[in-house]
Amino acid sequence: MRLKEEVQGRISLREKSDRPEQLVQVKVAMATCGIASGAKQTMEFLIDELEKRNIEAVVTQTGCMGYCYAEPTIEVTLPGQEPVVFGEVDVRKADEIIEKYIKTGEFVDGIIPQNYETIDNQ
Amino acid sequence: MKNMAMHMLDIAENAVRAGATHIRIRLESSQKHQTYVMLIQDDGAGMDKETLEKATDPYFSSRKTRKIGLGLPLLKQNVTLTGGEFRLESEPGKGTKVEAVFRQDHLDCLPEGDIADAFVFLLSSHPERQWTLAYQKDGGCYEVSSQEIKEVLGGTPLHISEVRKFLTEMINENIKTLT
Repeated sequence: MRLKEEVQGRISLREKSDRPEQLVQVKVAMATCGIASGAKQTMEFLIDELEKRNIEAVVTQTGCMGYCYAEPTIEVTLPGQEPVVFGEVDVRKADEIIEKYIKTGEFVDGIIPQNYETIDNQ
Repeated sequence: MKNMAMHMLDIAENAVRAGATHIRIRLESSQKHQTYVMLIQDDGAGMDKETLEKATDPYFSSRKTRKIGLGLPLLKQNVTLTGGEFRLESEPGKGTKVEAVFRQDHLDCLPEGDIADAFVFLLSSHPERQWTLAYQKDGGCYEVSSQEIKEVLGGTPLHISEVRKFLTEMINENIKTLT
């Protein structure tokens, strides 16, 4: 199977880096609110594009972060930095986040402030 | 939700969150009976009687981050809109079974969406679980499992875009041949 060989060669590189703290970590909120607003497309885009653009990253799912009004939301953690949550991340926004925030650390619009204690904890 | 595939994705994510190891999805699209059945069965934590009764209440959620849970209520609403039936069975420690019977001949019945694409997304997001998809039409049934797929792929990870595309096309081709 040609596909298999092709793909396996490429990923062996990535799998070897077993230092997750050095990778960019992206969490996509995939609860009902996220799914209904297109989080699946956002997540697929992030997985594919980060790979294509040679950025070492792990993209995972998370539940609802409580910002249902701003779905799809994603949380990005750059190595050694505090996590940042972005709201209304469609494919276009995701592209901007990769190009600006992930690549250069420059903030983009759409950040949800970090004082995100839920009502229950206050 | 815009289509059946999105509902399927959403309900299956519930199963994942309930700690299921094997999630079985069964879809039955019948021209003859004009019904579309979506059956999602898991072996996760399950719900006790009290929780089960509240599960389709939008102002209830088993999660603690917020007090609203819309996944099941939305599905129930969309089924009910078509004059269909919605059933929920669950037992603590055994798992949960969600059954939605849509009436396809009703104007409000949702389009199907890309079932194969949603299934592959689930599979690649949660490769550690076991997934089965059975698609039944009047003339026959197509079944595929994560185990079979893993055997074909060898150790190739499922999240690679080419692999996902290949699998989605393969499943779609097989569904298309059903009559």
